[in-house]
Amino acid sequence: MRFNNLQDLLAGLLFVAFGAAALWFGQNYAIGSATRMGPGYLPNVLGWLLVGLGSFITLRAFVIGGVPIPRIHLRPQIMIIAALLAFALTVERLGLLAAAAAVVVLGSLASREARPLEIIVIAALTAAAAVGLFIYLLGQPMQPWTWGF
Amino acid sequence: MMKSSNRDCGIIAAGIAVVACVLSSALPGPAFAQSYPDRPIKVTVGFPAGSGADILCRYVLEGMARISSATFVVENKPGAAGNIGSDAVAKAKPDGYALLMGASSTQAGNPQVYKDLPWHPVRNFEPVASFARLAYTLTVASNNPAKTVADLTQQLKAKAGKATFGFGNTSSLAAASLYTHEAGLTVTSVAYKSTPQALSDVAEGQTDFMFSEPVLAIGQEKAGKVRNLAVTSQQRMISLPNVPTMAEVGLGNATMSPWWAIYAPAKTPPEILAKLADWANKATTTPETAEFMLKQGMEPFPGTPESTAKHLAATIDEWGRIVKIVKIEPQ
Amino acid sequence: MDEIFQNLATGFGGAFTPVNLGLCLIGCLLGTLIGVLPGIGPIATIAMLLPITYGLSPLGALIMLAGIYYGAQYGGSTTAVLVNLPGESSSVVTCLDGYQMAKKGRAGSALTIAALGSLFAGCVGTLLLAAFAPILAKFAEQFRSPEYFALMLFGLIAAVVLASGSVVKAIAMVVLGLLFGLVGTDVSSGVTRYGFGVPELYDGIDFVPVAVGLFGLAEIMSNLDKREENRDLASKVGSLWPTREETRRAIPAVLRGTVVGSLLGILPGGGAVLSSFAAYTLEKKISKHPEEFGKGAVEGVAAPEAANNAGAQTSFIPLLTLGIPSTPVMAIMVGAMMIQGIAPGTALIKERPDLFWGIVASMWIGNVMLVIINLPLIGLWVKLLHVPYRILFPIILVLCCVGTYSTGNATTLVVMLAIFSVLGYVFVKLGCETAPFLLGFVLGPLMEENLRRSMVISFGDPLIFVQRPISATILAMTFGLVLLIVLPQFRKTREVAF
Repeated sequence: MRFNNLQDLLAGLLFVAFGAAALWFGQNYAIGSATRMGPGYLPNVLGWLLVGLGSFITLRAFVIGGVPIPRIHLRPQIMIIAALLAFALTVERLGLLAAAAAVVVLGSLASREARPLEIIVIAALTAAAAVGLFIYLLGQPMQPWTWGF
Repeated sequence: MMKSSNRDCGIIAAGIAVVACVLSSALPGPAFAQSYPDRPIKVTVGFPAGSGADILCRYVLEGMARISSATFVVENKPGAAGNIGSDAVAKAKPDGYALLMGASSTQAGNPQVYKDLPWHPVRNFEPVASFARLAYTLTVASNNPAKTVADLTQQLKAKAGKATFGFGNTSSLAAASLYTHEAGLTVTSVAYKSTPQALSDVAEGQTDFMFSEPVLAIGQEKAGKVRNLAVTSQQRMISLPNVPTMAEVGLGNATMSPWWAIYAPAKTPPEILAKLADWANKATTTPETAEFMLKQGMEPFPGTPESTAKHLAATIDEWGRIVKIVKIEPQ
Repeated sequence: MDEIFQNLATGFGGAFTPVNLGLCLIGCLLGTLIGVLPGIGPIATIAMLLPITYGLSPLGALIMLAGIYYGAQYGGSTTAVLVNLPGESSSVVTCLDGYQMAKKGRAGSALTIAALGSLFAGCVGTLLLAAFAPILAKFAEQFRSPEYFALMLFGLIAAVVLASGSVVKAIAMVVLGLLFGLVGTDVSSGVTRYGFGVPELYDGIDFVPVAVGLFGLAEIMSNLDKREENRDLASKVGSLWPTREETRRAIPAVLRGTVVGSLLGILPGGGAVLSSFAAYTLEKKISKHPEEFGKGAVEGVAAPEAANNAGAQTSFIPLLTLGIPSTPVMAIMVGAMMIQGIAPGTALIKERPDLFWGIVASMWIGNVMLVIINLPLIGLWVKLLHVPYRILFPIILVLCCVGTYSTGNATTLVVMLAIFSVLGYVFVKLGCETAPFLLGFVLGPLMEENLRRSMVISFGDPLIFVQRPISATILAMTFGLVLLIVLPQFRKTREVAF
């Protein structure tokens, strides 16, 4: 049988990696005993369990068939992360108007169908609506605009 | 790994604090104290929206807003026993528009419980005014034969290491540890996420006793579930006139009353501090506030910036003693 | 029984004043609004409104705040169905089949079923509260740490049933969720685990960035991977009303969900978080077509939504009868009562019958009001799906950012949102389902806390779990569930092997 289960192989390795990380970073927590468990008891058990399950899934990938991994494009991912980080950077320093507009502009670029004029209009409307909704109607402790750099 | 990144955070934070101080000292202070406040004042509470602490703070701010016609916006920055909120205000501009409502356990206790905190309770803050004080009640199940603290001490001694107490927060653990230390007992502590859970396990006999926030213990005593044997305040509480203090039962060193105060970032102009302290004291001393606090098992505790600073210093010493007795590991 | 009717008459008399009806309407409207918005939950909203309630009558204040609470329960399903965005843990399972129904053009039907199912469950839950509150409270008092541990273990095993694909991968996802749930200060020892020096992690990872990232944003990311014409979007809009077939399948599911939700709702130590998950698991296990779950099964929307709302009503029972808040929302209701000078607890029914029965009556009024508000809104919500995706998704992004930020007013939360959306995207690509992860994440800390507390209280004797009847029963049920999951797997592998 030809190997066609990259999806399970990678998933298994991801689980092994997470389990190993949990064990590595948790090695200083006191494990205790089953009757008097320390803070490290469960992390240790779960870490090993995850390594075991991950290894099983990895090895099984060579035995059973799988489905191909769906196509991956980087543009949507990068632009959406950029939009979120832009929000985190600006909401306290520039205020909600600028932060919401930044999210719409950067986020829109994640789609190949983006149209410049439309983005600007939507950004302006969304920013204004967000300020009205969250600050004035729901009283969230945010500033519409400010300068905090 | 964790230690070093903690230290890095500390260094970065200290750096930011220094820069913030330099920048702010260049600003003219008294000039804008005249028109203060000309915009909403952000008040940070280091506990979740809707918690007992948050409700108290919002009530006092409501009173201050009525007296001063200033607008206060509460910002809840919960996490790490109040540390995140204190940290945010320690780094804020000292212009009177960023304030903290802080618990004594955060401001005096945390610096000794947590290693490498990026803020310092005295260096980074100006005390404005204390406003509320509470105590803890020593509470047992209503079907527990112990009617006095002495009975309970006897009972726990007889259990010879098989006794337990519950706690829902660090202050409650501290109060219980002070008691067991003073009475010379060995009791196993059982941790809970919050007081109501811990108290319900006391009522059902899962644990032997706990030190509870009075408001909850009084409610459950009325319901016939628990009995309050003593309070940790200096004087008897108005809402529990028949319950003796720890000092009255001969355990004076187990006295503890946590308190709340408003703090501003260091270098906030004194005129602004005075203005805020005046509003806070006026709001704290109204009969409505007194009634509200008494219902919550607290009492008004007005103070000036000077008296609050003095009280803070004393509480920091007290926590130093507690941390040694309880053996809370600094982390 | 006569007594109850008389009491209810008193209650309706108190609740049916123009002012109180108005307050109920305001609460329901506000609750629906914040329920629709991800992140901003009833707790923050109630906290903000508390100062306003100083000026109201005690009954009026409680009616309004309770309206916000169950209004949020109704509103929460809207974003779950339309854009796969769970605003709180109870709407996670609604995403599973609700969003799939929406993709098939049945969004209106899913929302209608959710609203009507919630109305029915809410009425039944309130009836239980009115008739049996003290008895049910006695039952809830039997639940201590060992019982909660058994219950959480049951929930974790049930989490595997949530998955529609590989069982081993689902178990691994539960374990991974448990590990993420361990982040933060350990309750028993005070040690911070996996904090990496970030103070925002000391109290654990917040639920909102995890759920919004793994479900909502990961879905947006994988949608954008596809070309416009291939996109599997919820843009077809069929009839707003359920078909006869859908109704026939939804009714028994609503009934079962109501029972499950009512029972779990009365447990103050975390039963409410389980209610919608448990109802979903039950439906999938007894269904003749378990393969339809996760692909738009009507029962998968009807039962959890009913369970969720029934639980929301019955979670008032421990508060009103024992004075023990079962959820964070109930804790803030205690605060609201304290402000009004009312001590919740056993004495409330006797000392303030007007208040107790007034609240009960207002729950019925509120539920009816919510359906009246929500049914016409469904048409409006579904129309939103006609908005082109390139315009819709940036707006959803803004809502996610603001909602996540405002749960703790910290930009770190938005950074976490980014991390979890990437993680969720990776999971989608690797065919790992996120619902079991999320359940492990929610239940893990509760399970560990109760396990370790039981062991401390019993001084290290594990027999505590089997000596107590309720805990032993739940553990036996857990074992049975394990067999139910494992046996078909064995059969399948044998079929493959031979």
